[in-house]
Amino acid sequence: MTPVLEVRGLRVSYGGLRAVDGVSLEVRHGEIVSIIGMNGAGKSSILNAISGIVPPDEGEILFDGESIGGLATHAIVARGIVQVPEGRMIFGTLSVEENLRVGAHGRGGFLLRERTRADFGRLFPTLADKLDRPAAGLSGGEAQVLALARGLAAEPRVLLLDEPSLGLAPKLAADVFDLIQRLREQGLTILMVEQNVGRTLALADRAYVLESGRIALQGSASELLSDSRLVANYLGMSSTSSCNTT
Amino acid sequence: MIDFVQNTVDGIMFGSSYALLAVGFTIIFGVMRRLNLAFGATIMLGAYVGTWLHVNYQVNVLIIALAILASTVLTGVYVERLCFRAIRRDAALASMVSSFVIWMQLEEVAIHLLPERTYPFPSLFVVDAIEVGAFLFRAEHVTMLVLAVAMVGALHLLLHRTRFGLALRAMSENPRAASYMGIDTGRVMLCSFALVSLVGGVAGYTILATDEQITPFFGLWTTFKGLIAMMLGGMGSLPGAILGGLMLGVVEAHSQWYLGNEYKDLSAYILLFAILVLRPGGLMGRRILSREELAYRRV
Ligand SMILES: Nc1ncnc2c1ncn2[C@@H]1O[C@H](COP(=O)(O)OP(=O)(O)OP(=O)(O)O)[C@@H](O)[C@H]1O
Ligand SMILES: [Mg+2]
Repeated sequence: MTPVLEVRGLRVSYGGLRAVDGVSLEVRHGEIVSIIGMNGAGKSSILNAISGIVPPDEGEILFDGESIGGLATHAIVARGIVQVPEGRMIFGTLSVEENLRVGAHGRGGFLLRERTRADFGRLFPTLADKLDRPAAGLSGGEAQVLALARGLAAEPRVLLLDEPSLGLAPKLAADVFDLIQRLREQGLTILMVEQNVGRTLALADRAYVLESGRIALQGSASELLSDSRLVANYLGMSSTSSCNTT
Repeated sequence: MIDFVQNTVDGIMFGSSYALLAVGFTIIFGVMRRLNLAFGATIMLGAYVGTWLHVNYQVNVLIIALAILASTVLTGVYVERLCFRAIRRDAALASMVSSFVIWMQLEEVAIHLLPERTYPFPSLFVVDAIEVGAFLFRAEHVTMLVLAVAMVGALHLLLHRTRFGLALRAMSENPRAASYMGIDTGRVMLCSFALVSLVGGVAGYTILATDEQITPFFGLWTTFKGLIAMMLGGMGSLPGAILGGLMLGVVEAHSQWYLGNEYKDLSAYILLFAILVLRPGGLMGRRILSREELAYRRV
């Protein structure tokens, strides 16, 4: 089966400094694939290259076997690859519903479809009765849920998630992971970046471990969980770093 | 007392055109986070095209008005293409400086069209002033207010009820996030320029139809009035721009009446100074800014 999303030999740099150095990866239909790595490893740069936010120096990005390299972000979103960016970036001056409608903008819409509305009520009950509130008043957990919901309003085929649990208390982070699990059950394909390695590997089908812009390890989540290099370098580290961030 | 009320109402009526000018500056500032210094000159060039038609061909006022709107919109699009689109996102200073250069360029074109002096501009209609009790209102001023209210109402609907309006507001808050969400930011910018140029064209037309003349200082004048009104209200704030414009009109009307014509502009600068000392972000700017900051901190 050909992968839905495929990245080949991707190189990204910022002002001469290479952030991603020859990364190849693939995501198949219905999978959750995770990219793991320390701060500055180049995880967000990969997602941003896929989304057309940063132009790659080299490499191919294929969606359904067709090259999407060089397309503008709005064209990529229209094709069905939607990113929920790092730091959530919700629109605080807009209401919760307007945030969702900005998401719907990505698929060419303006109003929310009834189905989207119904899904929203079911998946995000905490937000469903806050539709008219300005998004600036949401808590961190609610903001992350809104960011996810806004991404879904674009009706993506592939969802790119950049550190969805960043800055959330453990309980809220667990809720977000549950939510991602439910999205997968609905048949969504997900490529996610996370620093919470234990939780991510429990959820993901496969993962790539990124070190200084290169892929150091890759494999199924269960293989990686039993890989001593990963356990030594990341699982130990991630528990201390999550103490620092939360 | 009658004078005071009369001046206040006159000020509000004339100030409504300042409000439109300020709206033009503030929308572009919101969307681009850059000052479009060529905005006044855009309006001036459009106005000169209309005046040129009037002087040479004596065409109908309606055609003049349409010609002004069409040429301000085209000029606005030209400005966007030349100095906002072409210059990279983060080079805000460069595009501001280049918009200043375009200001000069557009003025030059206008002055070539009609060499430097004052030209007559046709009034919209010839009617006597409207009497309401002890008060007397110029029909042009009333038209100005009615058009401005209509423009602001239409803008409000556009921003809150249409897909483009939502995209524009999203982009004004966070262009990067808007781009992630699949908004074609380049198109929003272009359409914003066309939109504000239309608003500016309406403001320019009503001002000239009231003054019944145009001078080569029209570009400078609209720039000053629009910028001061925007600064009074707070940069990037739409309600602020409207409030600032009305306030500027009222203060000018009063100072002209009580202090004399030569104090009209000075009092506007003193007002701006006072507001900026008391509320550095402008009247509405601070609240918007802190709300935005809050949004960024929370999310
Ligand atoms: N816009 C930018 N300009 C310059 N350098 C950048 C930019 N974005 C990222 N970098 C650099 O590129 C490298 C990779 O950054 P990237 O954001 O992709 O890492 P990351 O793995 O997502 O890190 P984090 O876990 O902190 O989010 C880092 O060294 C970073 O400093
Ligand atoms: Mg990152």
